[in-house]
Amino acid sequence: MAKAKNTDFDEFVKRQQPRSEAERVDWNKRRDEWLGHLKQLYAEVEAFLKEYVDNGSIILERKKHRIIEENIGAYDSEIMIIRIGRQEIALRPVGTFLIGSRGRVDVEGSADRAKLVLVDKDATSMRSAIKIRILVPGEPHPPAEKAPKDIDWTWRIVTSPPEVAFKELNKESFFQILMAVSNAR
Amino acid sequence: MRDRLRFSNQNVDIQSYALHHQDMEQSLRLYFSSDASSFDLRFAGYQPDKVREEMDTRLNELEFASALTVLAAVEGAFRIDYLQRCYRRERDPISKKLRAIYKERQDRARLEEDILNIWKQYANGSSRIIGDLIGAFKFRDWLAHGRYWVPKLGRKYDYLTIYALSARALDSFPLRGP
Repeated sequence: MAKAKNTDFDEFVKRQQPRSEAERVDWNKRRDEWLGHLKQLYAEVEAFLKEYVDNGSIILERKKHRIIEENIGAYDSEIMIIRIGRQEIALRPVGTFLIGSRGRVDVEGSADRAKLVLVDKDATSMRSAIKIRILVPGEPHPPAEKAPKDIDWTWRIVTSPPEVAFKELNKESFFQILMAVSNAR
Repeated sequence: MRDRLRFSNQNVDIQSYALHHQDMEQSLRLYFSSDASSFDLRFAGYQPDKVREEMDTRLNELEFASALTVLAAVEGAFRIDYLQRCYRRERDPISKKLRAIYKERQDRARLEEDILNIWKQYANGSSRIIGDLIGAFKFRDWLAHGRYWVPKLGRKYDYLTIYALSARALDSFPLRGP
């Protein structure tokens, strides 16, 4: 009886292990890539706001932020806080295992929330349709779905449903976001 | 054999629902802002952080409710398509496979094991999006059954990701309407 229980437990423990070293390394790599893109986003934001930070009208702060994702576990990232007078806007990283993007950062102000997503540079919307065709017997079987190409990931602003369209992230569009989430328009 | 199902024409259009969600979100944000005429009375004695915390709780609940509605709309769309292909005795390979299921289960076909599985097998280009939908339906089940367990979903879901996936699926599959 005790032996059987151990065997079950051994099996359970075995099932919980990563399937291979490669798989584990991939998850770590995925996390590190995501954190690298996050760092790059924050550097861009700092560049957008540099003149205001330099003259003291905007203050930037970082706060430690723990993210928990099923495949990776818990890891640390940072929330960027932008203080503009009495307004406080937080850039809060959500995670990398999301449908439709490689990562997301929510921009939260006192009046609204906007979303920045890490997506394929060529994509125009989160809802772009794909071609689905019913297979007819006797027809040669079409090739399997292509593996994802080596994607050039970039940060975009995503609009709210129903459009969920991507907008370029630049100094001007970022300033518009800051005003919108602070109800300053 | 059971009678044919009568379609209600009350099935949800997710684009219209998105506008409803926007109005609800904006209404909540206004209600919790100091611009609201009821603010002073409603939040008398609150610290600003507490107001924000309460608003975030309401917004999170709204997101869950909207994700549930949107996924229910996707299920409805696939089920209407299944029934229409069977009622109209359509002759393409997917309709034939769905009719074989209909003979056994009529309007009680299982969404994932029966309907989505047929689409996955007989529609080129569909496997990734069906895999994503099946994952999202696990999230839907968690919402619909009371969220009392820690779900193993592999990804983070919220209204935005659910809406984008649902819109993509509904735009991509050649689904028959009611």
